[in-house]
Amino acid sequence: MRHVADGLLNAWLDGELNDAGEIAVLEGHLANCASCRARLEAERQVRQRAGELLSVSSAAPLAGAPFSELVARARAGAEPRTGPVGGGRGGRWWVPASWAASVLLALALGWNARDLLEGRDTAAGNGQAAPRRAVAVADEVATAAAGESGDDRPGAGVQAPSPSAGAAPPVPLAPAPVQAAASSPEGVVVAGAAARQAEAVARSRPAEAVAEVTFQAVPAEAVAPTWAQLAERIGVPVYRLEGMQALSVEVAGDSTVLRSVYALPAGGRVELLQEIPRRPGLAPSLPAEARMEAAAAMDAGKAAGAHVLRVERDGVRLTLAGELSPDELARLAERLRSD
Amino acid sequence: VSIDWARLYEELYPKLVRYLHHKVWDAERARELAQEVFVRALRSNPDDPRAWLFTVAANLARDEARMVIRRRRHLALLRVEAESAQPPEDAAAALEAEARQEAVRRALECLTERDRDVLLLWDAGLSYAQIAERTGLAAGAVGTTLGRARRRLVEAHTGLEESHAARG
Repeated sequence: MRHVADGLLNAWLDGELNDAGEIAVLEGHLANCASCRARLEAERQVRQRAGELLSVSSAAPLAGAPFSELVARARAGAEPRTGPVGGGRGGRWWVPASWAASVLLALALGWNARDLLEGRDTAAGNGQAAPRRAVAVADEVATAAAGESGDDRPGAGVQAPSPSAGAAPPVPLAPAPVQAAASSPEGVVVAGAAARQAEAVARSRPAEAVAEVTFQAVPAEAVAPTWAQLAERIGVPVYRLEGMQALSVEVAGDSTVLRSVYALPAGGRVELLQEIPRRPGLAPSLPAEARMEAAAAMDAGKAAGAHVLRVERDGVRLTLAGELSPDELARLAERLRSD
Repeated sequence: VSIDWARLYEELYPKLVRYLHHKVWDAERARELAQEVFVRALRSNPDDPRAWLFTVAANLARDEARMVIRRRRHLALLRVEAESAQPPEDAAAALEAEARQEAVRRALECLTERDRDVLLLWDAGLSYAQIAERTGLAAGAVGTTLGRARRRLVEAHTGLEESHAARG
């Protein structure tokens, strides 16, 4: 009688043998063949050990963004504009998640996200921030205008879902009771839970609340060492908004853009994007330009109160974007300092 | 075809993170990419979501690898910031976890690309049929390939541990 092939033993271990006849033959053989039983046992141990190794080395999934946020991002669409960005390459670029989450979410283009959200606020969220964030997102999406679905498809012939136009009524929103993170003395919070919570707070304020902007000063010494450190590590001057507290500072995945997010005392937030040149004096790289375009995409959100201001300081291209009037952005730009 | 994406997200997000993490080796990045995969899926609404999600995840991970050297510089930068806020005992545990992870990463690198791919898809919970579809293997060959991949991973890992012990 022929021994059982390795592949069959593994399929059996993995519960992938579905043919009753095949299973009966295999089990019958195993009952009578000590050598195949020993091989099975060896394969079983290898299988278990491999699983352990891969578990040890795997990231804890933690909470993903609430599903509703992904929906908002999908609807907002990081669609490349044909023409200027790709420089004729007709390029398909995409905004990495952390960017899309903030830049594109701010667009808050409409969809029937509310339907998707219902009963789902705690989906995929085992962190504290997640449900609150879901509410914030619901609010943004609910107050948004009609959107256009994206077209970023890796395969041909796939059908994009048809967007349903029309804004849903705003979701009643309780003020988020998070104070500690927002008032943290830490000048630079990097990808931490605190930053996310603070962002959630910033987002949970409706845009209409931003009437007159006043700026809350923070002690310069609380921020300066960290900014200087950052500049030293990146190797270029780092621009910041003087006297304001950064919620987060991030470098884009491909290291072409630095982004810092500031909370506005009256609610809402503003983003500062800084291009990181490959070498001083060189023209901006394509991804950097794409990122700046992403910020500029906030133009589309003007109806919701978002504006973009581009300035240049000492040859460094900077973009300010936020739910502020052009005047307020211009005033904000006067606070740009570099370390 | 109506797909319950919310449910799929709940089910497959952890698996995608796991899959991506074994390719990009950065936990935060793996989470971001996993979410990006879903954003794209929502836009494209593919008929066969599972195969699609893992295909796009593999593509993103490959793009990621191309930029990895440039990125590492900045990840290091960000990590220093994050670690300075950590209590020391956490930092020690983190170092240990990182060493364990590094050993598995190096062991995985000893595998052929196809073996590694099959192994990671299995680890992410895909069925033989789904693995076959993703990799282009014949369905009957998945068990053999997977068995070999698991064995090589364990052997490579043991070998690395032994050489490490011999050096240390």
